[in-house]
Amino acid sequence: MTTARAAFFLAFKSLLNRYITAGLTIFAIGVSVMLVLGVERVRQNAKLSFANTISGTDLIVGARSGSVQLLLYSVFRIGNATNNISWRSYQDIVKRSDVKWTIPLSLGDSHRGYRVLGTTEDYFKFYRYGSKRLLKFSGGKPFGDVFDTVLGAEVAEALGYKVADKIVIAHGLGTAGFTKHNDKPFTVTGILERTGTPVDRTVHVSLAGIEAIHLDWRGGSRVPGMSVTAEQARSLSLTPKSITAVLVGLKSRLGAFRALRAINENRREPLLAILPGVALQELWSLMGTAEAALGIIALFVVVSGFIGMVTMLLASLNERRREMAILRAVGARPTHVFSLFVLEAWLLTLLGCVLGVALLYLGVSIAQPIIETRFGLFVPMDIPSFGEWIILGAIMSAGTIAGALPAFLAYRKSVADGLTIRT
Amino acid sequence: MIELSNVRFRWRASDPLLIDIAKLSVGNGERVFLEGPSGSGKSTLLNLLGGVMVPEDGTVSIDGADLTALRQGVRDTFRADRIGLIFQMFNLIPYLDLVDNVVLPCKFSTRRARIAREKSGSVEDEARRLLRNIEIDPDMLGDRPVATLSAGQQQRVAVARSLIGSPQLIIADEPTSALDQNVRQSFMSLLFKEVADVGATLLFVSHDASLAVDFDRRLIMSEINESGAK
Ligand SMILES: Nc1ncnc2c1ncn2[C@@H]1O[C@H](COP(=O)(O)OP(=O)(O)OP(=O)(O)O)[C@@H](O)[C@H]1O
Ligand SMILES: [Mg+2]
Repeated sequence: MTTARAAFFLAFKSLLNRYITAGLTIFAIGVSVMLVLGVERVRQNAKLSFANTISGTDLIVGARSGSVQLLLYSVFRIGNATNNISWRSYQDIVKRSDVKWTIPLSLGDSHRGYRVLGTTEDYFKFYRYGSKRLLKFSGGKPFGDVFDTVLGAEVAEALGYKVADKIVIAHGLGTAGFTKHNDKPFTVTGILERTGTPVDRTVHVSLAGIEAIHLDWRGGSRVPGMSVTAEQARSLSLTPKSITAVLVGLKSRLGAFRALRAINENRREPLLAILPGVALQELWSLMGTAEAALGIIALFVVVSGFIGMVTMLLASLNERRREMAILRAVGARPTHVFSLFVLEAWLLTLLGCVLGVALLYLGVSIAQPIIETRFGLFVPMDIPSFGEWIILGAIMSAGTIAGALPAFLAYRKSVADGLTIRT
Repeated sequence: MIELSNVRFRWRASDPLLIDIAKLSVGNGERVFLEGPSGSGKSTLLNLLGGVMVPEDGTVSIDGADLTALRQGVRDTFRADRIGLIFQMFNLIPYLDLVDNVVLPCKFSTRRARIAREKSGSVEDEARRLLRNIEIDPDMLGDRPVATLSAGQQQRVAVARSLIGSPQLIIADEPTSALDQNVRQSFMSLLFKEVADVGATLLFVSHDASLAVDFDRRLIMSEINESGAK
């Protein structure tokens, strides 16, 4: 007991004395620990938020493209549709006998970096996320008028909007300097509760609203000399000619494959219907390779951190032979010499882990808003999860075991040298 | 205090015998000077007396205990408890401060820690007392890295360390060879005074025969060692 404390005391003092090399070693281990934990944390939460993004929708229909691309723009608001689907095709889907509900989606505009989604009130009735949860209003109500808008929780919070505020929608998807539909401001009628999904970052308006602000636009620019005021717009027909995608709920999930085939074989225009679960899986496996690659890189960083540590301990071995003889002289056993080196490795790894966790939280606190707005992923500041503790435990064991190599060599030297001081 | 009989030792099985001592005995409180040329096995003898190495033959008894009959771990504890060692030079652990260096044996020996505490209240205070006795001011030099102390100061710190917790046997292996004439004299008188204070037995190894005069007895390696080593 007393000698265990002695070994600990010596290990600590010895590292303190070599604070530059020890500090660099700790830093290297710390960075690797941060990377491994960071990858794990992003992975866990990505998987969770992924599975929770959409539920209760049986089919997603869009213009023909890749299923992952369709999923990305319709559900995650990432990327753009290359083509729209016509209003008539949409009506064909609505009229199908096996369809229970549809939610049309019209994308393409933005408000200060947040996507604007044109849809119908059915969105608030049928859209589900997580474990089949419906959207709830934290204030206000769905849009009723052409120029009403409902904001996602994050949009309202980040931009400080309240019910009854007026906002202007920009044409296209830029954050600033874009042409704005400033002649037709929208009134906030409702704000949604936080969902942890891309809905939080969406500005919702009616399809008619999208149509109204584009009356005097063709393609990417305003038609010269043509100007339709908001009041004039109300009196015009605001049925859109096309939409971007449709979420479909079926009467029976069993009919999903039949409906899917029917829509995909539609003659009028090339459509693509996907099963959200399958597409999510596909997207996840795409990310999975990236995640595995990242995990492997992180692992190699850990290994190189340990190599640095072992190198440092091995390099010190020769200059410490005198120290070992002195320790033997005052009563240390060869096993004390062994444990001194193992303890040093253990301490370096422990401090590396502590630093790594600190760096992780620092990193999360800095990157959290960026990751959230860029990738729609919320990485929480939570205390380490069970999986992360396991990783930390594994790193601690690996570091301690790595320390056994220099420790064993020191032990052997100490047994051979005894009290003879060799330099 | 020390009883050797028929002790044979070599470092490697292929070497000729380095140590072959039929009989050597040192009494309690005796101060013995051991001299011999370089390579004659003086330091090797320390390894045997400290129980770090065991002879292939014979018995090594310290204070009545036969070291050759004990397990390695017990011998290590025995050394921690009973023997204070002083090396030729660089006796100090560079990453420990002055007081921690002196206290070191108490970390491996509960017995010496207890005795030190009985004397001064705490092992650190006992270390400071011993340092002052050998004319090192721990308050003035305490914050300096021990490597910046002069050779003479370092050797005196080593004396304080060998004495803490009052071990009965002090073994010094050429402690003065790095010191100049004046420092050597004052070092010797301090060493004698402190060893006498504790009432310990002193085995002093050196090839500087001029130091032998103040000792109770003078041993010459070639006379006690029957091996052919130089
Ligand atoms: N730990 C060791 N391992 C192997 N051989 C050793 C060891 N220590 C000493 N020797 C060998 O034992 C022989 C005697 O060395 P030792 O150090 O005992 O001599 P010494 O009398 O103390 O000499 P010096 O006066 O130079 O200190 C030498 O040949 C030396 O190489
Ligand atoms: Mg020697």
